[in-house]
Amino acid sequence: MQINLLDLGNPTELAVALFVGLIILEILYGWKTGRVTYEGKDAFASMFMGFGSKIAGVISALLYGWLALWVWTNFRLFDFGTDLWVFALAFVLADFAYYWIHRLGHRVRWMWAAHVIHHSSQHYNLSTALRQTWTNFLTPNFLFFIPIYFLGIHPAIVIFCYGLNLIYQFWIHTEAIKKCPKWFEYIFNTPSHHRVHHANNPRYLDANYAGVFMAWDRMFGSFVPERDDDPCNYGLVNDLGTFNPLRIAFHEWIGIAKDIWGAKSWRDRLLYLIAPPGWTPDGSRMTSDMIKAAWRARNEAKKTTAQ
Amino acid sequence: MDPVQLAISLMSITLLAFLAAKLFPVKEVLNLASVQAEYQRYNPEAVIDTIILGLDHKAALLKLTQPQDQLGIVTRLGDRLVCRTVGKDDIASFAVSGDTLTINSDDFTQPYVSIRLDPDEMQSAQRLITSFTEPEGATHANQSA
Ligand SMILES: [Zn+2]
Ligand SMILES: [Zn+2]
Repeated sequence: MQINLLDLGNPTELAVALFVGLIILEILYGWKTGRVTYEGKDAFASMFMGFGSKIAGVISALLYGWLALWVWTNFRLFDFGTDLWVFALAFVLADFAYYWIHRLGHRVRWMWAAHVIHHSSQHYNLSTALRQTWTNFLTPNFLFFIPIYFLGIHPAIVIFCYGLNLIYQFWIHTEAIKKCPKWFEYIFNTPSHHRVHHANNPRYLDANYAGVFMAWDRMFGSFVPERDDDPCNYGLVNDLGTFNPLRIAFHEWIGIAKDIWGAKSWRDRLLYLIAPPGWTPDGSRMTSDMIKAAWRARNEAKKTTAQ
Repeated sequence: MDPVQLAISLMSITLLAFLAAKLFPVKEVLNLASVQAEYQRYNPEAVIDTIILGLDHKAALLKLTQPQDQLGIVTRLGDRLVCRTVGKDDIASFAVSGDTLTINSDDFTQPYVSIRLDPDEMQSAQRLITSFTEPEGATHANQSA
């Protein structure tokens, strides 16, 4: 079955009405049962970040859309066409690209400066899904899709499938669903797996980067299951003190600029940009690795004392 | 982008947030127990000596035994708490106006913290801050207490 690429819209635009409906349902469900919490200003900030992100997305499309087409037109190895199986392949490849963008988005401060926005709420509900960055166009994220265009899949198909991927990730931002059926939890990203990803408990830091398929986390050693004896606390290891969307959008970029301005060497300037968030030359702040190591050491000490 | 679509989106966002605010009214969340628990959760190695709680339960200052020369600050943000540990280099200035102590810093998401205190606690708080900020390191603008 051939599909006309001109008929492919951006699926996220069609999904907005669905998002609004599901948020209303979740608010009402939380109000009735107490199993989901919302806070007005937090929800406004999250949804407003999503609104700004849609507008800022136009900049990314203008900047990188032509590059994608240029690579596909001039350098593709094959022409896969527009059969349905090409969409399936593009969906899997885009999910793989997402995994690495996301993983590096937590481990490279330059990429974290954009992604941190998504983790900056202390709440975890469907509005959190919409808390998205305004500064993706400042990151190297687009580079991760180049191999797919190079292989020969048309950029419109990849962008369409990536849009579906992001829509999938909306419903997993909820505390209303505890666990899905075992087989589903094994294959797909679920509310339980993604709660872990949003948690700042030391055990859960830097885990579960998947978009749709959990296989990548299982393959590359970043899978951590949710545990009943360690309930998720949401937010950053250094939470934001504001609901102001402008401060939320740019705080980490400002932090990087200040650090680079005050750095003593070019090595430090570079590392402030590419080392994990929290890195400093003198170790005065903590990276997630340092937080996890300290947590493990405390646990070991507790065990030794108990023996 | 279609301006009508943008306007509808903004209206929907406002209405949803309004609904959330109505159905989930913010309750009192900052008290001695919650400040201690939350601060220790983020700073498990810290040893808290004293907690000075604001009169309006919007902020608290924590005198720490460990780390030394650092001050713990816990503020309320909506229905959640935000914890900070600051040293003399983090505090740009502090000022007292009536019963309100304001600590200014270069924290981009929380450039200042205001805390209302009764006179005795105001003195303790000022002593606490000046105990580790050098006299020239802090600008005591508008001090009146
Ligand atoms: Zn993430
Ligand atoms: Zn998420």
